[in-house]
Amino acid sequence: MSRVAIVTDSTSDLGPLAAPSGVEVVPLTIRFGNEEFRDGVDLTEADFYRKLNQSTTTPITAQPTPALFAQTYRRLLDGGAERIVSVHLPATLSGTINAAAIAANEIGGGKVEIVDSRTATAGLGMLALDAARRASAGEDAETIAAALRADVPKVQLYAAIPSLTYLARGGRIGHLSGLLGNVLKIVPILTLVDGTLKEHAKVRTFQRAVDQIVEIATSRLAGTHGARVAIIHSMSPDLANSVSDRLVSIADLGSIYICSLGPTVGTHAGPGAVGAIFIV
Amino acid sequence: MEQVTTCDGRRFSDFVVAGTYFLRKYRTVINDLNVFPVPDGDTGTNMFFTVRSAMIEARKARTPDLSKVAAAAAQGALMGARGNSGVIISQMFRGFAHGVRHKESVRTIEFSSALGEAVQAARQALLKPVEGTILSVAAAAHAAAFKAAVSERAFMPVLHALVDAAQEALERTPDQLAVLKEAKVVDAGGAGFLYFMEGVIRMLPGRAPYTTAFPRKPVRKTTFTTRQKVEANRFCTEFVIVAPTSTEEQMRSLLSAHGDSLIVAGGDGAIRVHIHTDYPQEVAGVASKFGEVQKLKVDNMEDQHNVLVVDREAKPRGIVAVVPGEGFAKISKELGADVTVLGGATMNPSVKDLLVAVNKVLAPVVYLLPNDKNVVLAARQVGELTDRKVVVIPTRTVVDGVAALFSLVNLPEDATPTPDDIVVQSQIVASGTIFQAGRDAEMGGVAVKRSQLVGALDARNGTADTLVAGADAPSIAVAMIASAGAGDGGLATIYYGGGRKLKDAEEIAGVIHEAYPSMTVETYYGGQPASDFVISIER
Repeated sequence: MSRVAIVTDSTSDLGPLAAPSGVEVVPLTIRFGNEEFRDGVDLTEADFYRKLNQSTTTPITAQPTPALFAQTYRRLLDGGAERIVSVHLPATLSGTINAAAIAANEIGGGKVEIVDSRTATAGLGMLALDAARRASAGEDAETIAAALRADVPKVQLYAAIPSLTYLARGGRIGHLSGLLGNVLKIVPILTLVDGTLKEHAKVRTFQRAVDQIVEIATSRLAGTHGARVAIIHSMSPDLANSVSDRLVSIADLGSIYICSLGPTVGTHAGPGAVGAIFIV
Repeated sequence: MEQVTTCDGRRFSDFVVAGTYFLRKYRTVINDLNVFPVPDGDTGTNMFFTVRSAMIEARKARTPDLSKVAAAAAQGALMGARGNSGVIISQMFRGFAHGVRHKESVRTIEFSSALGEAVQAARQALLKPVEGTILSVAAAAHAAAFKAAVSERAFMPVLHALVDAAQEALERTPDQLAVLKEAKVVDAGGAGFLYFMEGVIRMLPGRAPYTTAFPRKPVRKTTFTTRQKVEANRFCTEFVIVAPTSTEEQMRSLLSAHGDSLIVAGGDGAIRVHIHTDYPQEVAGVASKFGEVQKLKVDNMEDQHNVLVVDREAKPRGIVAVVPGEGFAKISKELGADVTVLGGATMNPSVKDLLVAVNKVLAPVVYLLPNDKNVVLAARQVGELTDRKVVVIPTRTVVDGVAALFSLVNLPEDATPTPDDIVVQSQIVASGTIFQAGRDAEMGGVAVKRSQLVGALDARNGTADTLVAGADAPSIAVAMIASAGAGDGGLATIYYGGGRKLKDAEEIAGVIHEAYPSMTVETYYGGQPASDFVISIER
């Protein structure tokens, strides 16, 4: 085990990638009515989206408690780690990072370095993976945290969701409410800017939205080297694969992987969404 | 400190700038006061736009010659005059300009005399001058200024006297005009005059700014400004309880939990209730236990509010779209059109219709979408007739117009693209209409009989209009897609109008879907009277 342990939360949607990379994932909690599940632990994605479809109430995602973070940090420190870098989704989207910060404070001694990723899902996931790679290469906590913070502004996310129903139901639509109650069917391309969901463009059909995301990715990636890319999707692996195929050849990519959207983001996106995240 | 004792063209221009600034700042307050002659809540906006137009012309004059600047301002006010109050203001500018003709600069006494001409000109312009309005306020202002100017050479004390007198006269307006008293407001036009002069006085060097009129809160608390959204308690509910068995006090405490802006007023065996609530029937039900509820009147304030929203924040660019029907109007507004003008096909809007629409937009740059090949020419005339920069996007069909709106809506808010930057054609493969032929006709080998249903593909990419025949609307639509060489993926949009219903459009959509399974088909209400369907085919 490297001397620096890497912790993130389940909104990173790392799934099976986490364990072999040595990233510790603290789960958020998903509540459907009276049923409670730990994100990525008790609930498979297929089960989640089936439930999401059937349930009339919006599932509630709850941040991990500070106690759970503290417990995780202690376990890692007791297991031989000297320092911890804990990277999370921004406070604008969840209280998770605050819970982590409270726990870090409780542990004390400057043992835990908290990094705000300003992004979620695979964006956060890619940062955590990079941190783990650096840790196993022997970099110290300060260097890793600094590298992550330097990458944070470079993370770009563009996504299309086929139906605004879930976003509206989850109450996260706020400033995007102009999209609702429209006569004309409009598919928005959403982007994350400084940890807030924004509308990048409006198009007529979902297919055009997907095409436009590929265009955006192409223009941002063309001529770059070593960019890290993730294609996110909710229950649309075929579409994600086709987008991935279109992106693979456009530049000398550092890495590309397909990421299934977990419950935390999936609650708001609903099934059928697709998007591209890149760090370039 | 240097005293200002003369007013030349430059200073007059400064005066107008300052007055305009104050009207701009307080126009919503004035809007809220507006109950006379028409309570449409736009007096402040109208006055502001009128003096702004005067200001623009005055500044353009760029000369110290007062007579020239005043004349330019008068012309500007006249060109930009909006609403009743705007016309009155423009007449005042005209009268003032006449008063200072041949004068390069004036002293206080000449300035005050010219003000007298201004008041006189405004009065003469009205068929039936009414006291308790801007006329009374301006007259009092002139009288005080003239009196002061007899002994004062400096503008500061003269303008102070003017503002004080205007303020007093404004406070008297509710006693002169019953409708103001009833609404518990002072006259909006008079208030506008006062704000303007307050601005003027602040342009003078010397003493610390002297305030009288601002900030003047609207007295009429039961109304709302354009900035306030009506979110809760949407229904303005009023009724009278005849022969009440409760006291006003009891009624007030009973109803206070049901909404806000509650007014309970008694007298002569009846209680009058006014309340803003979300549950008007429930409120009336509660009241009916204590007497007979009469004259129940419920207004949806959201609707009123929407009418009142004339004063949007100015933005870098605005859009006017000509649309052939109500459905298209709605769609266009959703896509960012500020104003729509009904027109197209057999009812082409006039240059004036378009000009009025453009002038309604509170933006320096207005994109005008004619959306009909017969309206493009009229649209091109508008630019010369308004102070806004008009950019005509030569959209020849409403389908192009929708595409242009999509293009515009995806540009940054402060971008002001040229027509070439707006991608209209790229995604549209074909567009057309399905309609009943008005006469026997033959075109490109297709013959149609009068009242027969026929399709017409719009000229596009160098092709001419072509007729498409078919047994019924769905088969015509499919033939149109086939002749456009489309159908492999893409998007067909069917807007129904004429006497057609949604189910007719859906029938077409079903048939298209059978013929071209990979095509997305959407159906919307267009409301165009001249054709049964407008069809757009995009890649």
